[in-house]
Amino acid sequence: MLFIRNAWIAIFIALLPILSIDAADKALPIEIPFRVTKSSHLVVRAKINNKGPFNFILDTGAPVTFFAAEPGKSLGLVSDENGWCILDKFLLEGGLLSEKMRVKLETPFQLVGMNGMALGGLEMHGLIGYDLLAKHKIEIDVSKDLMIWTLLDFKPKAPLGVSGKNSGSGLDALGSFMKTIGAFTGKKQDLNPALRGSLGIIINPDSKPLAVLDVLKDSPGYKVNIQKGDLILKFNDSEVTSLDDLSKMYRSVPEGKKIQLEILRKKQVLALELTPGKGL
Amino acid sequence: MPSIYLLGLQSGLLFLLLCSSIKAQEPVKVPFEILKTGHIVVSVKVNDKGPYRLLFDTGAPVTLISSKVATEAKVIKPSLGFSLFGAGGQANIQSLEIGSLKTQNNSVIVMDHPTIKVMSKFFGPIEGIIGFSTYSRYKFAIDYKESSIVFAPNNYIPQDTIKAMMDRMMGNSKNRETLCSKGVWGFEVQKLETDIGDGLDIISVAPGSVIAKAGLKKGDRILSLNNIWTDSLEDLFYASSKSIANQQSKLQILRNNEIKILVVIPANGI
Repeated sequence: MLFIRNAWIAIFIALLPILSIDAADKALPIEIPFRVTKSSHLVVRAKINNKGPFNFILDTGAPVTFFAAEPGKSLGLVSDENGWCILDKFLLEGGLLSEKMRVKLETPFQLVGMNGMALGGLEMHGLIGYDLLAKHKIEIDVSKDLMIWTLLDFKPKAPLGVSGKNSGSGLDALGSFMKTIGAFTGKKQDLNPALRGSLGIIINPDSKPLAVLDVLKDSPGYKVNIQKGDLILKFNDSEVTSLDDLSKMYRSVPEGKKIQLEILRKKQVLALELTPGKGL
Repeated sequence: MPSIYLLGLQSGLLFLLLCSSIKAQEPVKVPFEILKTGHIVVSVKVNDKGPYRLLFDTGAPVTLISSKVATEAKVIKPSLGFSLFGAGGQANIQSLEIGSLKTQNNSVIVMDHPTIKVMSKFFGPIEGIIGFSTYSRYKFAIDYKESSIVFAPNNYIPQDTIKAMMDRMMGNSKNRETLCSKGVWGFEVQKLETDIGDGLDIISVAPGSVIAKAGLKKGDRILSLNNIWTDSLEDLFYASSKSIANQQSKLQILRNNEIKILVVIPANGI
């Protein structure tokens, strides 16, 4: 157990002592959406030459930006003898464009390990490192969904190489080791989330019990004839105390399950069964 | 008179509490050193020992300290069983000071990371990594030009990543996640399998809905919601799950090859 645990720790620390850089981008202060993965990595998305999006770990521990070999190949990218590749367009979600950006076209062993077991909950395609990060002031609050990048009037010094690939410390082997465990234990997680659409029922949040203000045409609520003025008493046999409460209950209904609503209409209690919708 | 005395004491206490909380909210600027490899090194005291040089690594899920620091700073170290890279295990550090930023109760891993060992040979001793378990508790701004990071508390409580990952590896984690829209918008989308372009097709708009009032039409293509690309249904539901009912959201749409921005306030409801 301890070995496995420490193996993943070593792998998950996206720390690479590699080398050299060069890139050009022009951008204004910009809000960039990001996610915190289950493995506690900060992930931003990018489109490369209009393809993607690809998931990148924001990594001050990486000297340069890495794009994994496999997706690189699928885009028809070719690297030079040192593994460098010039990307025509590297567009970060939120709108930060870097043109003619140089990246290392290889899969750091950390990504091999992480993707092997899908531990992050997302497929990772690369790392954004010092060469792109250092040109910006970057404000991050993991309790928020957007980070703010502001271009600095600053040319970062090109990072020097410490050694070749991954320092020869034996960590490389761990990546494939983790991948192997993933294959054997069958613990690869389902990355696709369940999607829950709306019931189309618009509610006055300040009313008690909650009162229906409107029902959207053709929505699940419409199909069971929920009407303006209806009062919502119960959701799946639980009493509804607030809209927050109701939203939480709705979100946590298992996929494929129907919903029972108890409604009060003109002194009459009605029991209705609804299927979650596909629209928003 | 005792009541006035008590009142005085209480307000004094309140004042003290207020002062300490205001002080805690003040941003703290921490200077850093940039190694020739581009890595950020901060100066860190562990239980008043040090300072030691640690990497600041946004790609590290946990904070690491070397076994040397763990020993010197008397960090409790459960060291049973087989260990990899001299790893001792998980420990709690009472006091961790990053420059003048004082943090308490940091969960750390005691481990001699091989890459750090290599880096130490070139750049002098480095004794660990400041990772997510520590930095996530702050809103922070990294400025490479000034060589500084400004920290301000954000009240975020990081998960126990190690436990979460072990659970995940052992298959103990819960069912898959559900992405649920926040609020009621009034539109439906589709993505055909043959469709590899940016965005999603709007296939219906409910009459009278907030989105209809904002001007969305059937046949439009939604490109992003609140800056988040909506190239797949997952993307759209994710973006919508991050929006807030009764607050403005921004849609980027494509209509007749023209990009338009629509502002919509999703309605309260389910």
